[in-house]
Amino acid sequence: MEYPDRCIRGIPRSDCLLEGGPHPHASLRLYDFHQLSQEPPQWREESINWTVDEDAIGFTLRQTNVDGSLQFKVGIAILFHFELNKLKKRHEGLFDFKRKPVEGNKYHGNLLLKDGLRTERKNMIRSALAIMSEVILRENIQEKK
Amino acid sequence: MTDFPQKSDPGTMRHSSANYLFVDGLSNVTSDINGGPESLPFVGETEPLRQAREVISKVENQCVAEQAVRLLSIIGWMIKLVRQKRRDISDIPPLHAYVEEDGSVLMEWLFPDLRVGFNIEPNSEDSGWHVVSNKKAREFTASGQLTNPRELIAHLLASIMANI
Repeated sequence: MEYPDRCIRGIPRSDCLLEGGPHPHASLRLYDFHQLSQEPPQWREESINWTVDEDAIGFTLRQTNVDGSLQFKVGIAILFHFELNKLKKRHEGLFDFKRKPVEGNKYHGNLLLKDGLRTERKNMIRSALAIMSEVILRENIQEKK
Repeated sequence: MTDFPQKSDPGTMRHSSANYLFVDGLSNVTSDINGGPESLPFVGETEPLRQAREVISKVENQCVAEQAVRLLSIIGWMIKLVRQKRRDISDIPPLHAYVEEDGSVLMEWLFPDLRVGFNIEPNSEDSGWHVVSNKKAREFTASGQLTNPRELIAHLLASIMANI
């Protein structure tokens, strides 16, 4: 399957970030992998949007919760496909990703983490995702009018 | 070369490679990138464990609290030793701690190009550590059980601080 060169992870809460310098850094909390995948084999998944076209960031920033509030109030984190690919190769069978367009979101995809890993191993992969995340705060993004 | 205290998980980093990276690799990489102590791109603190101590003081699970206090004590002691040896290092990045939904504690420590983490679980055999670095520091990953925190912290801090 062809992949765009990057994907976007929305940042819903400020506690998904860590202060640690001039720029905020992603915390492991940004990559919880709480959701158990419905498809065997058992993975835990984290939603992302692939940058299929130039509106992917704008679309992500406009996504809303059921109550109409903005889903990603804080901003977004950018992950590059080539880095995800390296992580996948390094942790073959433990980490993966996919495109999975759904109704109303052609950009949608998932990061996948094998279920049942020891916590430190899971955290190591979450941390690898965090360190490769380029955090962009909503206040620093100007949408094209 | 100093032995790394615990071997990495199978499939991540071989023991010998982790040794090399911690002891030798980082010295070359970070010194090239940062150019010296003045350019440390992180906001350091004179009390880097303050926030973590506050969080741990409120942990309800006694086993988790005891492990976390012991870990912080070891880290604090090692920081003191590092500062005695390296008087040019005054500010050290803060250790972030938070309580997870299941009552365990997760700690994250961010250094330039490197992240260290600890998970403290109700069953101490489930507690662990992990280290990851970015591409400037050769993108290595390692993790293991937190069975000998004193030795682990000594190696981690010695390697990291030697390159700040």
